[in-house]
Amino acid sequence: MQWSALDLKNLAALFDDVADALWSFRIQNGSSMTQAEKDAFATRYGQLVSYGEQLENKAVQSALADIDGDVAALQNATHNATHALQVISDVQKAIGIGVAAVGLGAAVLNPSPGTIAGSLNTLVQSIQSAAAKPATGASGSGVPAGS
Amino acid sequence: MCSSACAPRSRRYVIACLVIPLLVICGCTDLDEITQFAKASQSVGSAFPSIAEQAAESCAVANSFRTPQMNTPLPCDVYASLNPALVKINAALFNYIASLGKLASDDLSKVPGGMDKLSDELKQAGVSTQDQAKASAANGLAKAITKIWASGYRQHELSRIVGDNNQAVQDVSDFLSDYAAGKYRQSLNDEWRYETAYCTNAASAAEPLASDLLARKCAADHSRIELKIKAIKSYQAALNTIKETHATLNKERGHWGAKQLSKELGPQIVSLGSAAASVNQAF
Repeated sequence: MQWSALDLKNLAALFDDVADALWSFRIQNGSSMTQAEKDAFATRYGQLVSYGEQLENKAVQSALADIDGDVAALQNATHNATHALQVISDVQKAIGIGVAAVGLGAAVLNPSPGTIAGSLNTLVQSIQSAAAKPATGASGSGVPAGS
Repeated sequence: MCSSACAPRSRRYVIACLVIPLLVICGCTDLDEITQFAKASQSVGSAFPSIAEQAAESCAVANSFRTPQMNTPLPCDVYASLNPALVKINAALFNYIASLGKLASDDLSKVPGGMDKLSDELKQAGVSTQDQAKASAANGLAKAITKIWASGYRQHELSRIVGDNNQAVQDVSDFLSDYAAGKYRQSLNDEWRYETAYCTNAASAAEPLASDLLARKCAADHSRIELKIKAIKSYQAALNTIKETHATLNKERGHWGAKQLSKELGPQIVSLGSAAASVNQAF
């Protein structure tokens, strides 16, 4: 018969309960027991507790196998959430480039010594900043649903 | 020819340009409660490795109480292989919750971007004051557009991730509560089972002083173990809170409202805070 994780867990709890009941009996009736009887109770008690541990270990190991896919799903979801933040960062950078381009446009329209070169430098820096940490696959998912 | 007809149209266009972004900003729900919820859960999750270590230690302590009569050893070697896997699963759940919190955060400063230094850079570049004003206005507009976009995108992604992973959160929370934390509780209970058996068997009317000291030592250990078991129960309660909250977020996704989130997540955040205090007191 194949025991499920829950079966094993319930069985472990049963062994623990029997062990506790046995020890409770030993405490309540200890005064009327011989030393040999007390020793026998102690031996059985230890065995039952140990069986309970072994069954619980099997239960956890069996449940571990079942949970594997869910853990992988959560790890992927964590990655997706981090990726979504990276997309927001990339859009900020892209808009930063647009703003820098506006600065360049203003400098071109009203030229004064150094302004065009300076604004061009700002634009280049914005582009370099955006290119510093590109997000993989971010470009395709940059628009929110409904926007 | 079109001046009389076009003027109201262009005015309507300008009004639409101003009003629509405002409506979008106001329509985006403040997800701060989700961020607070995620933060509150972290200190519970971070205690798990200590709980795992304690369970292995409890097993070793239990075996130290063996006597010639009660000499069945508990299987302590299991923790070497079991604990790393369980710690990893706990981390998967709490990292996921943390990532939801970060995604829900409305503080764009936490997201690295390249815009904030732009005004200074324009000044340094020698752009005239008038042109700096234009560029600065464009910068402000760009930030507003980013905020509108990021709020909508954030909510959309958060909603999708919550929906896709609700079942996994339920399953992993149940596993961690019923099996992992359940196993660790058993380890602590068994430490006490072995210790109390030792104390009972070793007590002797012929040696009243030694028996009294032993009884006091056992009582102190019992209090210590009870405190840790209580903390594990708090961890289990926190997992239940996380499970329920995630289910609520999933049920109401698509129509999250700031007021509703505050009403529903507020008590859960308080509950997680209490659990964190209990867990961190013991571990």
